[in-house]
Amino acid sequence: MIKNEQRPLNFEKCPESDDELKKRLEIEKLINKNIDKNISFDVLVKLSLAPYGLVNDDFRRILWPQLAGVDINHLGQAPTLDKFQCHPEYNQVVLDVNRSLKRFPPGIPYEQRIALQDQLTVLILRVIQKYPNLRYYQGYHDVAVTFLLVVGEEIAFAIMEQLSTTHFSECMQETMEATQRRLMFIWPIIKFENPELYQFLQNSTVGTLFSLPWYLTWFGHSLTSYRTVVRLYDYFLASPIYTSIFVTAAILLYRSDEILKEDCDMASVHCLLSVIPEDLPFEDLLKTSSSLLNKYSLTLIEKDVEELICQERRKRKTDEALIVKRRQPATSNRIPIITKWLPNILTAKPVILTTAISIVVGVCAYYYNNQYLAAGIS
Amino acid sequence: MSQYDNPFKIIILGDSGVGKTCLLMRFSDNQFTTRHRSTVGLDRRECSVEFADWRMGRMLQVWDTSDDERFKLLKATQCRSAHGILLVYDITSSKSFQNIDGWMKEIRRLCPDKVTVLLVGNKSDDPNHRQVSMAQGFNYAHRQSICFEEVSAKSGRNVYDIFSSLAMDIYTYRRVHCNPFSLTSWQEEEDAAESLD
Repeated sequence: MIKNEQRPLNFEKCPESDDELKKRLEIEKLINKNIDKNISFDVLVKLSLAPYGLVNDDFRRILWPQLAGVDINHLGQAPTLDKFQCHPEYNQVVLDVNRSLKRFPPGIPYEQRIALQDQLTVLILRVIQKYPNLRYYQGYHDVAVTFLLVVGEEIAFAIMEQLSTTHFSECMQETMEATQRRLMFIWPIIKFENPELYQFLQNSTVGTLFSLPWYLTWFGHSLTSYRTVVRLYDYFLASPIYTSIFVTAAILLYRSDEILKEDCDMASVHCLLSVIPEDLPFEDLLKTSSSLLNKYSLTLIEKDVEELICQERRKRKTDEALIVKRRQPATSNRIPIITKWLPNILTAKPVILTTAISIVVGVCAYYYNNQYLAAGIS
Repeated sequence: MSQYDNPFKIIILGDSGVGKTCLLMRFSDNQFTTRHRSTVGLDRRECSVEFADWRMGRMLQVWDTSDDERFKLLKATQCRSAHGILLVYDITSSKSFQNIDGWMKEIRRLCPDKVTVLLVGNKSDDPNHRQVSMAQGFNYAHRQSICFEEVSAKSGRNVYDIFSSLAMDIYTYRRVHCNPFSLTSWQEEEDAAESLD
């Protein structure tokens, strides 16, 4: 059984590979070539999608705002926390922020951690206050904290403001219907790429809930390596809104052998899929994702999803009819007097009776033991 | 048929921050931490609980849930197939207790008749901040015809009890209601029910 522990985020740095070094020098050259450090958007997208993404946080601080399309020369100053205490989501946000400590670097001083928590709370509340039509969702804080840690609170707000009206707008609607529908995009991709895997997953009735945290947080909630998280954010910032669906599909396809060996039931498969293995080869998976993105048009996927939704609707009606049918015979066959009598013999009374008998036996044993000893003494 | 073949499916519901995930972690891993992340979507643990009376085991499949209110739609499918529900409030938060009635209405609406509910008042280790008396919890549970216990995920007090109590109640209920004429063939009834789900 997979141990689904609350693994802390790993901030460990890895040695720089030769390819990574080459990439870093390339980006460094491009940044220094431009007087305002701006890179043409097309080049920036290619860099972000290519292996190793934007390589390190120094580059991300400069380039993430450009990817998100925000102007860092006109940033407002962050208000203080007390201005938000009347916001209806204030308590929920504080609760979630307080529960996100494992997303912060280990060993930072207490004062700095408290400051970061307050900044994170302010960051989130600023956005949802400015856009009252956008609904805060749990997991939003996992996105916000990633930007806060990399680019700092002022730029993080500008980026979160932008993303909340673009990439995450779907997750911030009044209901989760759009999100549920979007997650179903996974199925046509799997079906076309690996029909056996698709059939297995459908038979297990696992659904798409395992991937909900991935979609809501760009994997930030579920991965344990900070380095991997920010690398994925490079990729997603440079991609359309639905790209994480293709990364999800790439993960499932990569793990297909492992999945097919699992018991084919909802709980087992959900549990297996929910936990992302530590050692997934993400650079390869991102290549697969890009390949799938180019291969399948959204029109084709949406058409297939529409059919799936109709199928599910029909199945639900059939299931409900069966449930109604199944209940009737049991009810009609029941004899009330027996039903009334049976619960009594199976409730706590037998326990009480057994306990009482045990006490009596104990007392008797004690009494006769004493009598025996008394006789022995005399 | 072994205890692993038909696990009892239990869902933990309640307001945000009442300690749902802490209860599950205390029960399944016997650990407590205040620094776990909020649950996004579903989280599942499997644990085994022994029934003292019948000296038999039963595998529990326990589902922790996100408390974002818009996930209710997603939880509906989970509730529909649940055998039991731990409905949790925080004794230091009267609001979380007031919301229990809303949760009960939702449960009655979403779950089949057979679901067994146990009301749980968590954080009983913190009497200095208590806002909900034990009597309030007990009286509400009594009116709803459900069982009630106060626990502390932090200290571990009563945590095992609530899971084993709920499991026993599920077991008892199913024996009585699924096949009142036979106390030994309820397993076949359950198999038939499972195959239809």
